[in-house]
This record gives sequence, structure tokens and C-alpha cells, in this order.
Amino acid sequence: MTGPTLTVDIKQSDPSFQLEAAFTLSAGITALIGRSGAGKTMLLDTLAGLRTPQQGTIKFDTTCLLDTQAKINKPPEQRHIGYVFQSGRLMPHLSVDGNLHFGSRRARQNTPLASSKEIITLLDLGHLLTRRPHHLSGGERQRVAIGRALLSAPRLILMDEPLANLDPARRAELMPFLERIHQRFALPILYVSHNMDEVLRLADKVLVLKNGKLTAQGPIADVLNDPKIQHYLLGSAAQFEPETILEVYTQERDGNVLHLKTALGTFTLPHSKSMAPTPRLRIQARDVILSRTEVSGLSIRNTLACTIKSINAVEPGQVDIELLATIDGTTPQGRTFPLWARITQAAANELGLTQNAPCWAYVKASALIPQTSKVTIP
Amino acid sequence: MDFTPAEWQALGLSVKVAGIGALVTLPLSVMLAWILARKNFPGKFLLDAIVHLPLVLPPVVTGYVLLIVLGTQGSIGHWLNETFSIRLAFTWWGAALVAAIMGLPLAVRTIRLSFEGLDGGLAEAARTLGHSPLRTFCTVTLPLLSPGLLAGLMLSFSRALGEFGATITFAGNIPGQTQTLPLLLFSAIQSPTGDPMANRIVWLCIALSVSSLIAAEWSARRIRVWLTGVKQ
Repeated sequence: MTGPTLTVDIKQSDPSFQLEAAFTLSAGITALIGRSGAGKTMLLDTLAGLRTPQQGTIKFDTTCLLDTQAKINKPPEQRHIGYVFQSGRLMPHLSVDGNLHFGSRRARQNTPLASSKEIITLLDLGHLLTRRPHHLSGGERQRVAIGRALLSAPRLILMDEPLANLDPARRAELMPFLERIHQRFALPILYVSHNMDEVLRLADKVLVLKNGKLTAQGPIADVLNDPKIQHYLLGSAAQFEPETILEVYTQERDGNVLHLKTALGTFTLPHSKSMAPTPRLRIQARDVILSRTEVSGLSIRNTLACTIKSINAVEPGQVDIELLATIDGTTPQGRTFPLWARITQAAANELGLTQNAPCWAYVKASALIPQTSKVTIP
Repeated sequence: MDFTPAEWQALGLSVKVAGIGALVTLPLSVMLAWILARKNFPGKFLLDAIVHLPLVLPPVVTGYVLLIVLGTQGSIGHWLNETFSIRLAFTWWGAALVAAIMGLPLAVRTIRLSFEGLDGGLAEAARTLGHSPLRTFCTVTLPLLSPGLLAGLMLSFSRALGEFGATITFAGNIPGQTQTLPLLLFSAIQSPTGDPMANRIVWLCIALSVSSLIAAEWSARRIRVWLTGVKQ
């Protein structure tokens, strides 16, 4: 592993609050996801030193931040961990400039990440410096909060749903700033989010927290393609629809189309300026069409030879079909890749779909066009 | 209206005694309010009760207790007099002490409410930005608490201006020393020819109260603007 690394192994077993997590964080964005009440904020507070677990160790490279056995527990101000809170938590009595430099006393002792001028430009805050937080929009407030954390010379940044309080349009506006930070600084960032699109677009790796326990961790597609994890994250059976997440290996622009190379072959999507960059594609089960024979003369261009792994009935009158698509290259799963299709029970009966039967899957490319938000305010 | 030198003197003394009393109370009130708002410990109820005693006891009782403890014959008063030659009973310092004690419960209650209404998240944010607990208290907690501090100061000052029972018991009614406006008014009412003087003192008291109210409102507005940057 390269770059700075945070190593965490903590355990807390209070009846009211349980937390059990062992993981490492290295440079890049790691998403921390889980349902409400799973203990995500609790975990961030513990890393920042605002809470102390019953037992465990937290180390940054070779520096020990917490070791309950050795009775080491560095206070928050000595941990050098930047924390962007959900609600910003800007100081109302200070101007934007005062807020940005509120933590820069520490920056004078540490090596700063970048000059304050650069960070102000990066976050486009130059015209706001004399304003008070009261006179900022929600998105501006979060940008200041992010800038404040960056200017305190942190070695790690925790972000607790920084976009959660924003409407979809503001959220879309702020994402590029987070991408810039990701590209510019080789920092580990732990990013709590409830928004799947955000995770797919920003994160490199993911940690899944369930009832205070770390239940899965790893590269995004590996973790999120697990049906059990999807079930846990995407909620109640009635609304749940399985999906397949695909890493985009390369993107090539060819005139007005984009060729996206993935484990399931190359998808060709129309290119438009407003389209968000796509590190990953998301195929919802309902956008996959099945056929027993290979069909020609279709407008759909992406054809995949599959075998049926399982058929699961979901109400009302629908089935989710778990497929294994045969692919050219190799992936961590081998020469097959999981794919989900949702069709009606009647169609499944008519086609005579059974376990282990071969079939063909078709994915409509336009269903894959990434959308940062469905609502936009001009 | 022509005020006599004695009346001017009582006015000056009132402001001095109440002002010093309120200022002395403030830091102690902040400390007590912080303990009561943020800490949990056995005996917290007892501390809370002791802080509130001057509010619920008849002022004469408070004055009498002070006289017993801090009078020149009292246990602590005797020692203070012997070691530092400090006399509190029947001096204006004693009157200021009474002002401080009588204002304390009001200031503590007000500042405690401010503490409880304070967003603890801001202090946490300051800690993650490298500020020690003490620095956080000075750079975040105190500024945000300032409206509460002003309100506490104002209440204890007003309470001290009107203080009568405990003052006359512990500090006496000595012209130029401990005779504040309420005490002078009392003397005027006692005297068969004191009605004109009593009238003038009533006007003085009204003027003093109204101007301190205006001053408090003005300061509160200034603080609000400074705190949020919002001008109204």
C-alpha cells in the first residue's frame, strides 16, 4: 500500500451503541455507507477523537492516535484529522475568511496541503471572503467547511454527508469540487453518504456498516454487486430492485458517442456536455431484456450470452433473475460477471426460463446514461 | 428639578455598588453556569440549591447571615480584619459584595440557559481544527455566549440597584458610604419633611432604570450584529 495509511481496529459494546470495525484507509475516497442508525457518524466521531471506544487502536502510519490498552488517547486537536460535518458547523461570528483560517494555526506547524490562495481558488470562494455564514447558500457553506478542513493541514479528512442537506441541483454543483479535491490531494478521505450516485461517482472503495458492525469492505463493484449488501442498503423488499455495477475501464470519445469499456463489453452512449463523468455504470434490473435465442435486427447493441443462476419471485407478479454473463476478459469473479434482470412472472413462464438454462441478455444503452440528478432548476 | 448633593451622591454610589457587584459576579456566574449546564456529579442538586439561596431567602436573612460570617466579630470577617485589615461590614465594599451575592442566582440562571442552548457541535468543530479546550472556550464558546452574558450582567445589575434588605442589614445606611438610592428613599420617607426628596429620588430611580434598559437593548443589538453579521 502506498501513501499515508490509517489503520483502525475498534470495538465498543454498549447496549445503546455498538461499534466494531477493523479497516485501513489509504489515499483516495472511501465511501462509508449503511442505513440510518448504523453508526456511521459514531465511527467518524470515534476516529476524530470526539468519542472514545471501550477498546481498540487507531494508528496513522506509525503515529498512535488511540490505544486503549496502552492508555493513549490523543485529543481531537492533536489528531490532525479534518472533519466536514453534515451541517457545516461554521462559526457564525466569523467571516468566511475567518472561518477558513480558523484551523490554520495548526497548519503553521504542519506542512500545509496547499496555499490558502490555491484552496480558495479550487473551491471558488474568492468572492465570498468577507461574508458571514448567515449570508451564504447551503452549497457555499459546505464549500467553506471543506476549505476550512483542507486549510487546517489535515492528514486525513472525514466527510459526514456533506451534500445531504442540499437540493439535487446544488448537490450536482458541488460534486465537481469534491472530484477536484480527490484529484489534487493524495489524502485519505472517508466519505459518508446515503446517495448511491454520489458513491458510484466519487468513491474508490467502500465500507459497509450494519448495526455498528463493519460487514463488507473493498472495491465498489465487488462489494455493491453482492445481492445481500444490495438488499441491506436499498431497503424494503417492496421497493427493492437489484442492480449491477460496472467499472468503466476506459472511456473513448468518438465524435458524438462515447465508448465505455467494461467487464460486460463496450457500451456506446451518446455524448453530451451536460453528462457527468462516469467512473461506473449502473444497470438496473428492469433495463435488462432476456431472450432464449440470439435475436438480430434489434436497436439494442449490447448482447450478452448468459446462464441463469437463480430465479427469485418478487411481488407483484414479477421475478428477479440472477444471471452470469460470459465475458471475454477476466474479472475478480472469473470469466463470468453477475447481472440482474427483472421481468414479469408471465414472461418467465412463457419463455420457460429455468435454473442453469442459457439465454441472451440485452441492455439498452440509453438506460445507462448517468444522471447526476433528475431535478434541475435552471 | 434641583437635586441635592446627597441625592447625586446616592445615585453615584448606587451605580458604583451595583456595577462592581455585577462585574464581580459575572466570571463566577459563568463558571457556575458551566458546571451546572455541562457537568454531572453527586451533589449537583446541592450546588444548584446553594446558588439559588439568595433568590429565595428573605434578603434580611441573607444580610444577617453575612453579618454573622463576615462582620468584624464573625469567623471569616475577624480573620480578614486581623490579617489584611479588610472590613466589609458597614463599608461600600460590603454593599458591593451584597450586590454581587444577590445578583448571582439571576446571572447563573440566565447564563446557564445560554449554555444549554449553545450548539455543542461548534466547539467540537473547533477541536478538530486544532484548538485546545481552553482556546475553544475563548474563541468559540464565550463569543457565542455573549448575548447571555449581557443578559446576565443586566439582570444582576438591576437586581443590585434595587437591593435594600440585605444591604441595610450588612452594610448599614451610611450617607456617602453605603446609602444607595433605595436606602436614601427609605430615610426620606421616615423623615416628616422628606416628601419632596422622596419624589425626586423616585424620578432619579426611573431615569436610571430606563437608561440602563436602553443601554442594554443597544448593546444587545450591537452584539447580535457582531455575532451574525445581520443588520436589522
